[in-house]
Amino acid sequence: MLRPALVLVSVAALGLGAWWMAQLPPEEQFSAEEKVLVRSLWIGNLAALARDPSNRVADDDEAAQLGRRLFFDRRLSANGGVSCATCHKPERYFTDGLPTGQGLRTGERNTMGLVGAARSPWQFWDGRKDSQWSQALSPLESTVEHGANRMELVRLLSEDMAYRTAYQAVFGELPPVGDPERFPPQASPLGNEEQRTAWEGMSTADQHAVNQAFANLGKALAAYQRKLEPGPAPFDEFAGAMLAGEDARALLSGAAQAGLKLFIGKASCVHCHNGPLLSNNEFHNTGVLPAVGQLPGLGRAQGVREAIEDPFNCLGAYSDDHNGCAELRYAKSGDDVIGAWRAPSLRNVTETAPYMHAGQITTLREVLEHYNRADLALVGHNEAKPLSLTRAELRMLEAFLNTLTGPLSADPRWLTPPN
Amino acid sequence: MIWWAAAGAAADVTNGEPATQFGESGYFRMTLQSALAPVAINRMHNWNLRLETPSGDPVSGANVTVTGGMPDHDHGLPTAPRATGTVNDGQYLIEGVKFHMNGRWELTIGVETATQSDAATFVFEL
Ligand code: HEC
Ligand code: HEC
Ligand SMILES: [Cu+2]
Repeated sequence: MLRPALVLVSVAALGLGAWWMAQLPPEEQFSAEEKVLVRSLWIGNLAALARDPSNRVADDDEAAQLGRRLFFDRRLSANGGVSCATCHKPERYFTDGLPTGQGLRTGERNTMGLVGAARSPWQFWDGRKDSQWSQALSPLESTVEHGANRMELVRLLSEDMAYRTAYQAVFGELPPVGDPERFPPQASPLGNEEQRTAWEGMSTADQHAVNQAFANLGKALAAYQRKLEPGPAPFDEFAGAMLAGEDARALLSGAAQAGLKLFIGKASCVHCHNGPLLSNNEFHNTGVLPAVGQLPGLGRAQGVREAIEDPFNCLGAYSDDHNGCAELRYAKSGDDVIGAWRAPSLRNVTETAPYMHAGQITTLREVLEHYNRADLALVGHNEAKPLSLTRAELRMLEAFLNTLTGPLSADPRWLTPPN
Repeated sequence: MIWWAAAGAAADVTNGEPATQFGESGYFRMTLQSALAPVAINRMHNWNLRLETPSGDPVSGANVTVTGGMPDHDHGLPTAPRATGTVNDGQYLIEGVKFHMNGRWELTIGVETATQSDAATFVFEL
């Protein structure tokens, strides 16, 4: 008897809040302080994509073309069946709809969307990579993802005529990998025992040459991914009109407008999900439980260690500029970041379920319930505090999150494989 | 001296103005200024520190540490900034500062010389 009544009350509250918002004259919907925050989230406030000095070809169009070809090419895998696009599907905002990535085997983490990801100083949920070019090298050699090794990848670049021509136009000569005396068929310092032994048998100079070409492959993939920029969503149409002083009320449902107010106010989402990507791209412990059957991960505490030790990081031998690298130089490590994961962008979030670093949460409604409870974290401490939002308020927040989806701001050719 | 203290209290550090405070132990006077004005969230930037004795003599060669965070949110800085000093004029460059959200922030400057240690906390709202 109680439940239908509750539902009725919350529906009424939702309807009332929405109705009330829609009746207010536009200049009274949002206070001056709220408008500052709305502007900060608005896509019109998205700065030009910053240069990446560690990747000399980051903004080279030929490199991006090569990267696009590589991104969709299943030959870049041990079984000829896995490409980047196997998991990062363009039609799903470069995610796969699965709790965790599925390559050669099932992985442990949720596939991240790539839209706007070039803007993050750290890559992966735990930030164990400090650039997209360095990031790309990791799935290629991962035994659960592509399962390839750098030696055979560089050989593919060398033997496929289209790759060879494109590569040389952008990067110059490839190492003479056709010489079987110097270059074994398969080799990598991260491979299986046989591949590691083969790698150790190579001269340091040849190892370096292969690493350089491997890094260049990553740089082409990064140049490609820089094209994957977010485009305006219904929220942005609303924000743009409101900030221009126009009557924006009809551009967003009353519930979504009320949800926006909560997002930047009482629900504190904007603490971490700030800026036009709705993420500060930093690391926070929000008490998300590990996936069933997994131990709680150390998150950023582990990721930052790996980033600092990575030979392909911004300060390493394959980076094109060591002068900047401030993120890496001043990266924070230690206990403070145990159990912290990177806050993801909420752009297109309706289309990128399931959620969180291991796809632990299936729906936006459950995500909101998670924040509303803000249980104690299993490791470290939960930065988010219980919100005590009503069911109606949770629905408003959900309505707002559903206004963040829009077409990419990218030439359509970047969303399909080359023919 | 009174003027210095008063100017420090009124200064808007978030707009790139220098703010001056005495250390809690009263050994040093610290003038802190952001090199990024206005200070914006999610941007790596530097700050400048001038370190003096209460009578205004520059203090060089001190070991300067930078910590901070948001007491209301129960978290620290997102980065680990470091300070490097110049040889003789009491100027220090603090590199690697970043704030990753809006709200009330604290930056605590710790100073250690061979004989004295002191700290001052600067509080501001972003
Ligand atoms: C088997 C599925 C799979 C394949 C294949 C795959 N990825 Fe991923 N990708 C993932 C998963 C899962 C994550 C998150 C992993 C983590 O954080 O540990 C991820 C993360 C990323 C990120 C980080 C995004 C961010 O915001 O931090 C980038 C960039 C990326 N992948 C690009 C690529 C590229 C380029 C390729 C091809 C070379 C590729 N991926 C192949 C599943 C895959
Ligand atoms: C303290 C920082 C912080 C606050 C506050 C915060 N989030 Fe998050 N958010 C994160 C982090 C970190 C993750 C990823 C956590 C993980 O994977 O374990 C995340 C993940 C999410 C996701 C999943 C996105 C995806 O692609 O997997 C959604 C949706 C989300 N947050 C919405 C919200 C909403 C709505 C609020 C306000 C009620 C909020 N967040 C408040 C940091 C925060
Ligand atoms: Cu905070």
